[in-house]
Amino acid sequence: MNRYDRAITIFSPDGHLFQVEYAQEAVKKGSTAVGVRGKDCIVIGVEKKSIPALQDDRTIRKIHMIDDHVMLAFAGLSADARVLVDRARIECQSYKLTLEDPVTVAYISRYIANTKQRFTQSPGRRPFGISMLIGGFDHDGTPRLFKTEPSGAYYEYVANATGRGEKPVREYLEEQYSEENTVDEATTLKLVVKSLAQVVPPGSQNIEIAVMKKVNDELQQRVLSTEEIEALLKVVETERVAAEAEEAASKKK
Amino acid sequence: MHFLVGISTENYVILAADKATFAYGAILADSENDKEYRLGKKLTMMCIGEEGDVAQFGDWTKRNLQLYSVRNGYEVSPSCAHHFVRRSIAEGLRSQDHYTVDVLIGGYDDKEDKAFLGSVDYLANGLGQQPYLFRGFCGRFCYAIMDREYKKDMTEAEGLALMNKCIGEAKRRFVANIPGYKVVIIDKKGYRKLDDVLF
Repeated sequence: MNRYDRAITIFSPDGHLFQVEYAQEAVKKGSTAVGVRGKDCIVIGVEKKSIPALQDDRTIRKIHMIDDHVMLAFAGLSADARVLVDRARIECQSYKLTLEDPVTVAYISRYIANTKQRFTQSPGRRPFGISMLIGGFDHDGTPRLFKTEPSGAYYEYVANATGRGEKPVREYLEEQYSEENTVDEATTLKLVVKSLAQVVPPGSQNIEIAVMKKVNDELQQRVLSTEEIEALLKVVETERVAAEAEEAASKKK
Repeated sequence: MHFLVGISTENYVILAADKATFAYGAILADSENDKEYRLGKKLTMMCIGEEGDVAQFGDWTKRNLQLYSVRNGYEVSPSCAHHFVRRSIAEGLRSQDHYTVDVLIGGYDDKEDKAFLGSVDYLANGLGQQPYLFRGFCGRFCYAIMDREYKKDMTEAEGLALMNKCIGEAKRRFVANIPGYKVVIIDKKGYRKLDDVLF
């Protein structure tokens, strides 16, 4: 490369900030994360790296709670994410301390994006090598989903993915996302598992899924147990086999 | 002027706080003043003192303990919260400014499987794991009542009756017009707000 990739605050002649683009590459190497906004729920699913036999699996967390009503998943450098997650958590409490209301998902997404952007524009710093999917509920009860990038760009989505498997998963979601497929928790969960199945080998145990929804006016967030995920994977697998059999049968005709 | 009541056994803790705001030390300005700050699912704090300090300190404590629970995925124990509050007030005392607040902290410790009642005053004197505590002038005669009538194995109804007795005594003896009390109870099953005691 040439000298334009040295400092992040310097543009290359064709208008690129190389360090920011390299950060985006770090995201592309990260494990896949999927987020889907259902009618009354938010589901976030991630692919976990296989855990070394001697490691305590509780120390690997890819889905974090930011406040009672917001959670996020990330792809990229875990160390960078840890720091950014903590900043977001402090902002959530600080916001409540000054304004009494809890943060909106849009606000905290913008806050995270702002922080990321600042790190692309001052000397001696390095951009955050992470992309985040931020999902949660606003105080009026609507579910929302945002995605932030290392550059500091952020957008709202109904469903999106990031990380290693971003492209196939996003294409799958673009094809499959519909109102019927996201009417309730069960269907949304299935959609998330199916989209993750695009990149995670079948029968894999390395999936983590979290759901947030309103039950009797109270927000509930839970991480699915391994049994629940296995059951879901089984359902998706049988459906896939059935679909393939059907296809094969129609070809024979 | 204000009055906080805390009564606890192994199984539950009852907290009551008057609902008054006094202005110029002589005028009843508000009769719906909430002095309670919920610090957790089974943890709460009643706070009296300088009005502004109470609000500032209460909110600050609440947000810090909430931040702790979001960061760590579990809430602090009542005795831990008590320690934190005491230390915060003590640190404030040794800085440029300080909080003039007196608090009662009540909660249920699921790990120890028993209720907790503690207090911290504005000079950061902390009392933890007490059977009964009062803050405010009326406590002076209520301690006498409790010394005589408190039993370790009181039922919830007996505990509430005793609290009512203390509040009644405060009504009878104290010069200020205290319009009513907010009452909450925390036990193994969780937090409940009971009906206000009104006069």
